[in-house]
Amino acid sequence: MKFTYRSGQQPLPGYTIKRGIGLGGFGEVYFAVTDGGKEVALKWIRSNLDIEMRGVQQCLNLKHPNLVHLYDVRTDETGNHWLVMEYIAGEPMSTILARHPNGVAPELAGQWFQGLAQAIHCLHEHGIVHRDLKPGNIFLEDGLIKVGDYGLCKLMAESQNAGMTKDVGTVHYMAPEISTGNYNRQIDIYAAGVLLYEMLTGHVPFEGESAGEILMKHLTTPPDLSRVPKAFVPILEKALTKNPANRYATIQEMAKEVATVSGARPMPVAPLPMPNPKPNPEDAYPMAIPMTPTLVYQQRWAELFGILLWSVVAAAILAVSWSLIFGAYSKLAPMFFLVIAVSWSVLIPSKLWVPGSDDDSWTRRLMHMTLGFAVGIFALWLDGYELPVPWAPSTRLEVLHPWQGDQDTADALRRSWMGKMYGSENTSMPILACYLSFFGLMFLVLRWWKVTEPTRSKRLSILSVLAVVLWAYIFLFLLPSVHHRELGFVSLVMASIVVQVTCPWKEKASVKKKKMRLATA
Amino acid sequence: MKSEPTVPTLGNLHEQQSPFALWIDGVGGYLVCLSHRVTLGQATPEGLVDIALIADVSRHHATIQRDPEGYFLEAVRKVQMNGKPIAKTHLRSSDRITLGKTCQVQFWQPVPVSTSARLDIMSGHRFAQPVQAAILMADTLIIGPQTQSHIQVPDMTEPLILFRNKAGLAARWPGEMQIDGRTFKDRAPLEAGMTLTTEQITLALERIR
Repeated sequence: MKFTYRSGQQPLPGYTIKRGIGLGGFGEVYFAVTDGGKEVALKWIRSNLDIEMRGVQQCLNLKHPNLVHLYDVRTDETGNHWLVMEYIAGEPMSTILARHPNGVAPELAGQWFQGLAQAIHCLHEHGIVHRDLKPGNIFLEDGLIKVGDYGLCKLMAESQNAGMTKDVGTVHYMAPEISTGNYNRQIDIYAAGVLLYEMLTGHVPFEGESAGEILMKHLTTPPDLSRVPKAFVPILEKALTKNPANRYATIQEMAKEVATVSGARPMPVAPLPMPNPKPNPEDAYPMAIPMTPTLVYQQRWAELFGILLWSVVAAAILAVSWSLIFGAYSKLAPMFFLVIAVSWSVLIPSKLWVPGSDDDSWTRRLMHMTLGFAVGIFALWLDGYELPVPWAPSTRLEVLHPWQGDQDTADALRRSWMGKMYGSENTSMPILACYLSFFGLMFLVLRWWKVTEPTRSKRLSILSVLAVVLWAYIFLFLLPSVHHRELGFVSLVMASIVVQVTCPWKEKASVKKKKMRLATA
Repeated sequence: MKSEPTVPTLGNLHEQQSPFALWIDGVGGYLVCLSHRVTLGQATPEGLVDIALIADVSRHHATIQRDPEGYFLEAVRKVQMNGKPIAKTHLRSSDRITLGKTCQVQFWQPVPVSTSARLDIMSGHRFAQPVQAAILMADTLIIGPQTQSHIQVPDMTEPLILFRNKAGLAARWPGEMQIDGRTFKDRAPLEAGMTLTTEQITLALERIR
């Protein structure tokens, strides 16, 4: 390490440099002693940006036992800025973790995390995002965690629109949304998650050859939580979620769960004096609110778009194999489009649904049912009927009366085993009502969104496919004829498979562990 | 080398014995005691002891003596070693010395071939000097990448060795060394107040008044 100043030099009057401590991204850090004997750390900030200095000044009077205190900002004769800070006699977390390549005991990690969380909480309470949490900025002095380098972060208000996407954080601790340039305090919660992961395992969740590779993993790859003690898995899952809206709302919330799991003493509920006795966590961050929903929707739309594309591929494969196996070439196109219609009617509302109250099951069922009606009308049109719209003068009566189609094919089908399964004609209901009730009921009785959740137990659950088979069979009598029954029944079953195959699914680490244990036993 | 006096004068003998602070960039600060007999006690404005501690101990609490047989700890006030009260005892590497009720110091001899030892405070107390550890330097002081170094610096590839000769202190390093503007190769004389720079490490020796 090469430092500009030598031991014994006085770049600032009254401060004698003893030794260099380290070289940071913002400048050199020295250990110095004042004429009065006070030990300090001096950070030489080479950049002359006023914006940097404003950020420091905002943090200059923060007081918290878990923060490295800032004493002053000074300018030397040559115009260089110096940040006078508390000298920490302990070690940085990076050195400690280097000594423990497989991580530290969960109890200890939990205890350290409490200190870290308190420091982050203090910053957030003052409207400051750290933006550069990493082991090199976290120190351990006499068992007490000290978080440093926060003075060079920007104010949350500035970070909203500054568009400064460069130099924010070290890539290993960088939340995915930083790439959009639109981020808030959630990036500190993500970084805290990465740090907790590293304390527990000795490794960061995403390692790679280049910064680009690591950033890509932050954006796309779910973290491998199999190395983490089981109890911490749900916490890290939540903290390391790609979508900031799904992370912990506050660091306190996360710290509380870590404390429960690790047995560490939880952080005090309100370490800072608050004007409001029951502060609404959202209120403290008025700047954070406007951007969150848009960001959420952007990400959801992007995810949905990918799923919809894959569902087309899956539907094509299933429809083609079905028509090849049963020789139903003429029905290939209607089958393909109907499967897509059913899958999309499940996927679109499920993926765009914003969770509201705890039990909104019936709202969702009714919404799906409405879409089921639309699918019913689409199926009606696919089956060769004209749509019963008032502006189409040639609306045919078949829509309102039982179908009178090609009797020969219908008879042939009726005689086959499939015909036995699909049953006889339903002549008592108007065709439109048949379609509406069949698809509407199919969407109402099943909680379709359950199979789209990434937290479902299996990627493709045979049980949920069987549930579709069962209910579709029960409601089969509603459809007017064998022709329609085959199409309706098969399309729903296929759509159930398509939806499950295309929806992203997170494998639970605990499940995997159990399997492994069984295998070795 | 030619300027080295062969017979030490009383003045430079005293100079040779007085402790100095060793500041290593990016590593830490160390109090290096050269005398074969060092006193431990409370930090006072008068600075009576060699190794002053900011702790609840007596002004002169204990003495460590280096003999040809090894190091001996002599209690002036209440001292325990590895939990047992002692008056005088032989010190071995990793022995724990408790001065008074709470101040705990660990004695190390990390390099088997060197007699030099190191004292680290384990109880969260501090030395009066802002240093990490005190080093009782006998013959050599090894600053290197291995664990068997008095001061471990993982980034180095070769050890830098400080040693004592008749003239006082000197440094050994397989390469070039800059000392206060002069360039040396392999060996260089050294004294308190100088700064030594190699391509891997920079250290400053500060005289302690």
